[in-house]
Amino acid sequence: MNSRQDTLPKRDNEALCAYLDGVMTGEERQKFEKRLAKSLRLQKALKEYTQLRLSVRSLPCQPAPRNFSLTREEVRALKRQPVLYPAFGFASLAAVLILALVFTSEFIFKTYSAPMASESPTELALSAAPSQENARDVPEQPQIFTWGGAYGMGGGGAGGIGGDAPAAAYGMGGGLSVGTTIVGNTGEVPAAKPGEITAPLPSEEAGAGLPETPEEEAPQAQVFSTPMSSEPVEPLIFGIRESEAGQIIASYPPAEAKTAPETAADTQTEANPALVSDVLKIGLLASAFVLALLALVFYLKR
Amino acid sequence: MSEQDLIELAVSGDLDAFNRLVLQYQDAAFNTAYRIMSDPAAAADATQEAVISMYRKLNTYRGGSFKSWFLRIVTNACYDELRRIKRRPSVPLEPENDEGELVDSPSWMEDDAPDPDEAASARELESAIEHCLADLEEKFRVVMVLVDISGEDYESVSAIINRPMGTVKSRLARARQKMQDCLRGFGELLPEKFRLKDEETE
Repeated sequence: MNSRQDTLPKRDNEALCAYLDGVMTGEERQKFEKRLAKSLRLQKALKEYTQLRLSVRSLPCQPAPRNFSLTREEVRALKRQPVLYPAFGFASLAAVLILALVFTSEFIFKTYSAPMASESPTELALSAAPSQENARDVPEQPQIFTWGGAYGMGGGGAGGIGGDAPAAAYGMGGGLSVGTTIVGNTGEVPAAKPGEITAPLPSEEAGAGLPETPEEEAPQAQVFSTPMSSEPVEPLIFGIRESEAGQIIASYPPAEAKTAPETAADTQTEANPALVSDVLKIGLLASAFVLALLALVFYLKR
Repeated sequence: MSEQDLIELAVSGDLDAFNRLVLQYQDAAFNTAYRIMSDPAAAADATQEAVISMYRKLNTYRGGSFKSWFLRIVTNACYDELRRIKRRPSVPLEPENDEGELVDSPSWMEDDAPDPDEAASARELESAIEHCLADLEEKFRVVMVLVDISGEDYESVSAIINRPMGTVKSRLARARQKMQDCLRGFGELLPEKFRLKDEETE
């Protein structure tokens, strides 16, 4: 039986085969023959290999069991036969590549646009533009146009020119802030009798020009009082019909649009809209899978 | 008509010229396939695939030995067929004879007294070699078949298996060593004159 000692080193084994097959150069051959002459082991191995090679070469040649030539029909069929396996394989590969491209581009797009999206007017919009629910809670501040001002002049300047007293008293006041009390000056200030000098009215306070009337005398004076706290104020909107008061006639952006992004998802979606629809992605993925499956089937059926 | 003329005609689409080339080399092709595959049916399939593949690739032939080029295609077809067989193994657990019947003791396993007939002795050796050859790893078997059975030189084998010359030398040396080891195991079964006697040189 074989023993480990019979196993030639790899280098000697290769050299022996090369010598046996005559593929050594002249110099290599001379060197090997010198070694061969000295080594019984190499001589034994050479003898064995020569015998082995002869034995293998002596194996009978197996003739072809049939004619392998091609008929014209076979050739026609070969030309017609579509090369399905490579075609499906390439198609599947193309679908996968497109899908990878889509995901990569979306990833890059989102990565570089994310910082901008965080600085996007989301917070600003949320703080600046109240949501519709909040907007309902906050009482609408009507746009109020005031005229006259707190320090308006006018009113009941009652000047009488008496015969004896040419001096006239010029009444001041009348203008009051609307938020408190609107006092209309009817001009029914008691006319100064001729020859009388009316007492000068203090002008430090608005409305002070009017004679203070006790509460019980209030009905006698035509005072229009519209306290804000007790009843809703009918805003005085300049140029708007009374029937339209309190209604939103027009707004910008349009009222149908959201006043502000309500959720983070909405914000993200608006900031980073999908480049390719999900349907297309799923379609690509399904195509790649089906085509690869077909390619595999045709490959195995070959 | 020379081989070169046949090749040129075949490349231009002449099916008759192509078939004459096939007839010229089909025995060598089948024999190589058979020694690589160790199965006549699989070898026939591989040879037919090789012929079809050769027809498709005729326009890629760039000169040189046509036989070597054809054997390269045959070898590749054998590799494909071996892979296919590995995917779907259908080798019976028991060896079969030519009629497809199961054989309990194939010839290489028989331990009966050696047949005195010289032909029978040669058959014993042939069976042992075939068995040892089939037992070799695929990469070693292919090189040994191409060099020792098909008679290709190292350079052609290097082109056929698409490996450097050093790899061919190395694989062939390993293949022969393994064959030698394997045949030593059949020492008692082989005829006297084929036995490798270690004691002769020790």
